[in-house]
Amino acid sequence: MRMLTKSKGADKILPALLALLPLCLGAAERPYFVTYDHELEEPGNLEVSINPVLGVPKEGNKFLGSWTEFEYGVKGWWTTEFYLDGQKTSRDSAIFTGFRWENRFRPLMKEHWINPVLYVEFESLNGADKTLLEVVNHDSADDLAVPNHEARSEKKHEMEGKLILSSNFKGWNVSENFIAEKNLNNNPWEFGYAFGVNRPLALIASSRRCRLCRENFRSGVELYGGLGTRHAFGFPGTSHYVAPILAWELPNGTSLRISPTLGLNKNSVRTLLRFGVSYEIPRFDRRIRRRFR
Amino acid sequence: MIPKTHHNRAAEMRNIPTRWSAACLALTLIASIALAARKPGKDDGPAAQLSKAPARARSLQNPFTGQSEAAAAGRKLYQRHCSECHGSDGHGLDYAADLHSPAIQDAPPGALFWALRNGRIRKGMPSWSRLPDQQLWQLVTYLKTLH
Repeated sequence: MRMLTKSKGADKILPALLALLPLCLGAAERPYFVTYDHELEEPGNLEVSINPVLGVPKEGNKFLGSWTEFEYGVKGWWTTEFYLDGQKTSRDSAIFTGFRWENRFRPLMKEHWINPVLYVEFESLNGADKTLLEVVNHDSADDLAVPNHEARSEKKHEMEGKLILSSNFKGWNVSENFIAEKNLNNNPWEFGYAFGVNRPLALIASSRRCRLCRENFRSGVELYGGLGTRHAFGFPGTSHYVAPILAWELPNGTSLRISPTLGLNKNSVRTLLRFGVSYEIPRFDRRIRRRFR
Repeated sequence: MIPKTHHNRAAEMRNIPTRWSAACLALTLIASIALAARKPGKDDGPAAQLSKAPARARSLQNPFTGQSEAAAAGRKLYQRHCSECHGSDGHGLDYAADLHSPAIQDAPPGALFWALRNGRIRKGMPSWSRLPDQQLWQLVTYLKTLH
């Protein structure tokens, strides 16, 4: 019964949350799932994104990994993101697998031929995480076949750095990410890469308001995988993926993305299917200030 | 106290590159934050910013000049990407520039194109380089109708 009692705090918080729901939404999420480009969140905007990934390994059970992402533009040159990860494995359990906190910094204030962005992340995950958001080291499909109750006992506290290089040219975006990850339990550095390219289906915007105009769609492809460790650097024993992507930006700012992903070698999960839905709340900072002034 | 064995010393030696890598990463981060957080100069308004456009950018010609269809498309893009800061009428909200101001209306189209493409990241205006050049020119066409 206590749960049903209306508290005084809830009276204030619920309307505040409803007021924060986006009535007019702004810019959209990047079309990639794994690769980062040099576009940062606009200052004061908050983007909430849900990204399920359905996996069909050659051996082991199907799984549905998912991450929920909160991306906030602190400054024009600094974006911070918080992720909550979880997964459900067929014929096994559904569990929360941990969190990630990342920051991206843009050191150069002007647009260049190649635009660098520095990325730093702390993650506290367990071994049952199945989002496959970063593929590094010798990560392989066999890791995903471990039952949840065993895999979750492995705790991973990791720092990750990325060098993001990205270029926009004639409507195309080309992005390269170099990944270095360090388990804080004195494990060696682990490396990975991601590469992405995408382009809108039309370069010229039409003058009419439309949802299905070609300029609202972006298509492209991602390629990512592991590069081993400091002691065993290179391709042997690593897994690699190629993933066509299609993103649809609705005029109200909602973004939908889909990416069927194929494992490229025997270490990879055979098939992944990624989805993404994003909502951007423009000027979230201003809304908060107004609400609690 | 545990005596240092040969194995321990070897493990320590292996950690040296790791420490160096972590230190380099930390230094790079601190340097980039310091670089990005530098205070802008005193005279850093829209006029000063537009005057920084290189001569080659200023001389660019708008391929859509005078085309009402392009201005209508530009208006649509404006409402989608720009109005949350500059207001639906373009007069600017909070610290965002008034797009009706002479500094912007008198600027060459190429300078506006350059400003859209580069943004004013330190001041909070993002770079719109992710939009294709054609759409940036459509936006410029619309901005020039605001006077």
